[in-house]
Amino acid sequence: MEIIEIRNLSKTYNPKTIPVHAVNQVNLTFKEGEFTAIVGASGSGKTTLLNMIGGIDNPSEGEVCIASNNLTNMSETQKTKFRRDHIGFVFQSYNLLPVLTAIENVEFIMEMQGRPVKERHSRSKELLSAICLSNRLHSRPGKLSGGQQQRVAVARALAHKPKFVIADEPTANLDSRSTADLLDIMVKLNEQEGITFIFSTHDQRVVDRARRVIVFEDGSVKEDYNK
Amino acid sequence: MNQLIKLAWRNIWRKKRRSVITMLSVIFAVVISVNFRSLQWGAYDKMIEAGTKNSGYLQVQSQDYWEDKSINELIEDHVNFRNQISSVPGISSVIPRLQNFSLAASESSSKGALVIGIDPESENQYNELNSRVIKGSYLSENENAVIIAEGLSNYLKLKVNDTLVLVSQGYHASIAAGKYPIKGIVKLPNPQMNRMTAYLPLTTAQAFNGAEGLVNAFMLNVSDRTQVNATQLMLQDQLGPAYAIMRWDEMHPEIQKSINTDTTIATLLLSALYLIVGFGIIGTIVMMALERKREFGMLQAIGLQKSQIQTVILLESLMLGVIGVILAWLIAFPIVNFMHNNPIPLTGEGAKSFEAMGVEPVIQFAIKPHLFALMGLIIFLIMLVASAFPLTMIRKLKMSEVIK
Ligand SMILES: Nc1ncnc2c1ncn2[C@@H]1O[C@H](COP(=O)(O)OP(=O)(O)O)[C@@H](O)[C@H]1O
Ligand SMILES: [Mg+2]
Repeated sequence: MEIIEIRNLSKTYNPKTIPVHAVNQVNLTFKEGEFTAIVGASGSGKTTLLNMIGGIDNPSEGEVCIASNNLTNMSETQKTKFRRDHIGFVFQSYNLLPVLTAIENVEFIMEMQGRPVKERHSRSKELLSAICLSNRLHSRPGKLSGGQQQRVAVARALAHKPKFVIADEPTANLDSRSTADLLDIMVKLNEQEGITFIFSTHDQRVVDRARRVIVFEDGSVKEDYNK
Repeated sequence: MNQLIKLAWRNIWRKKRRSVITMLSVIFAVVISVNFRSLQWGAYDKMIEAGTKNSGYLQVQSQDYWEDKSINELIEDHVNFRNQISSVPGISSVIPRLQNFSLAASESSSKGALVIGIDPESENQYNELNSRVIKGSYLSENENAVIIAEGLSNYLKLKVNDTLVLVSQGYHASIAAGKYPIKGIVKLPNPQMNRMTAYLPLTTAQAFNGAEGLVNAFMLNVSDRTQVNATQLMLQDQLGPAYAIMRWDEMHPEIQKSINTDTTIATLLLSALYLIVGFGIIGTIVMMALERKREFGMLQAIGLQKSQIQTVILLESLMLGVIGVILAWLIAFPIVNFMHNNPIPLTGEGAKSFEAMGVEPVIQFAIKPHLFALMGLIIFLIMLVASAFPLTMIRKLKMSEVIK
């Protein structure tokens, strides 16, 4: 089943001065449970694309539909609520709130949604055990390594069972060992939970782990294949 | 909401040093300003006390008395009328007076004097005139005797048991004249009063002025000074338009004026203090906001509404302010309380300037809850103003630009 449909999606920065066509007439669909890497050189438009899919940035043209909800028609407030309830995010860095412990960070969105404490606790413990951080539940991000922080970010993105998770270069700041660990975890959770992952990278070792690869060049899809 | 409060609380301890400095500056400003104003209010209270000792907080007069202070504008002193006055809530005592200007003379010299007819007992209950007697003794009711102020006695070279001659124009142009043995000498704190005052028992003064059963004013004491305006209105209502009800500040415009001048200067000084502290706080909060731009973007991306992020920031500022203000109160109150209970007597030049105003020369803080509240409110406002920058920043924030 398709959960994301992108039609004629374009983004032009500085349209009035020196226009930059960061994303150009892109058409894509993503199915439930997919594990997709968007690959491309720096500046090819990966972040711009992911931000539009996630409702963080507005397209100049075209539309993004998520489970038949057209993001393009939503107000800022509606979009923010939609992101909270249906999308998980992992950024390159600064994902976590430094004043909350690992488990509090994982529970954060569920708490904002007003989910019961019991449900939050069992869900976050389950995830923290899945990312092998059961022993660091009460550590604040400052006391965790970069790799551990990214794992907590993945757990947070998944905690409220969103329709999909967007991860923009989640391994860019990690060494190869942590990169491999993070991917192991992403693959495992994708399989266990059936939640769609879309992540961008320009690291070949990361691309190798994806089941679908979209190659991006100058804001357009150059290749799109399943392995 | 709980979640946002928790977040705000944790955030203020994130940069401990910075928060502590912000709180210390709040504490500094509030403690200084509360103490400074309590000191000044202590002096104001002393001035008001000195003034009202000789006028009451309110006076009932004939409608036309105040303008000319004419001996012809008198009112009748009836028990019923006194009862009518004291039935008004907030009035704690009613003290009759009949005063008139007169020529006071001894064998060798003469001088203008203010001759005040008093009810010795109620007068003393209200302002302890008895305790001001330095030679001889205090008056008793109906007797044919006078007590005179120290300055007047010196000028006229009169001692206790000498005779004072008073001559004046009495009620309805009658000739007022009398000879009174001096029963006592009083030292009045107000130097001007000390040079010119003589006290007769009320009935003696009425006889002297040819104004039997008449007084020029009832001085009133009130149970709550802060309610004096309301009491004035109620009394006016009760007595009707034939009577003028004067408030202490109407009778002593000079006191109100000097309090106002002093307050203006204090306001300027404290504004400068709060301005400095305020800019420090604003700077800190602006810095905090700029440092956390990316965090705000991240929060919005993962699903916090801008209004929720703004709530967190506002809570952080208010918490800092509230903690600072509460600590400041806890520090300031014992100091003010101590300085209230342990007045410091002044000596030398300082004492003289107090005495010149007829005010007891001591430094005694006043305990005024409104000062504590006011300084807290100022901090609250500073915190709101300081939050304006981060709140605006969050409103204008473009997530896609900050979370790169
Ligand atoms: N806010 C912006 N204003 C102007 N140009 C931008 C902005 N953000 C990105 N770009 C440009 O858009 C293109 C795509 O950027 P981006 O989506 O960040 O690529 P990638 O994530 O693949 O590195 C680049 O040429 C970049 O310089
Ligand atoms: Mg990028």
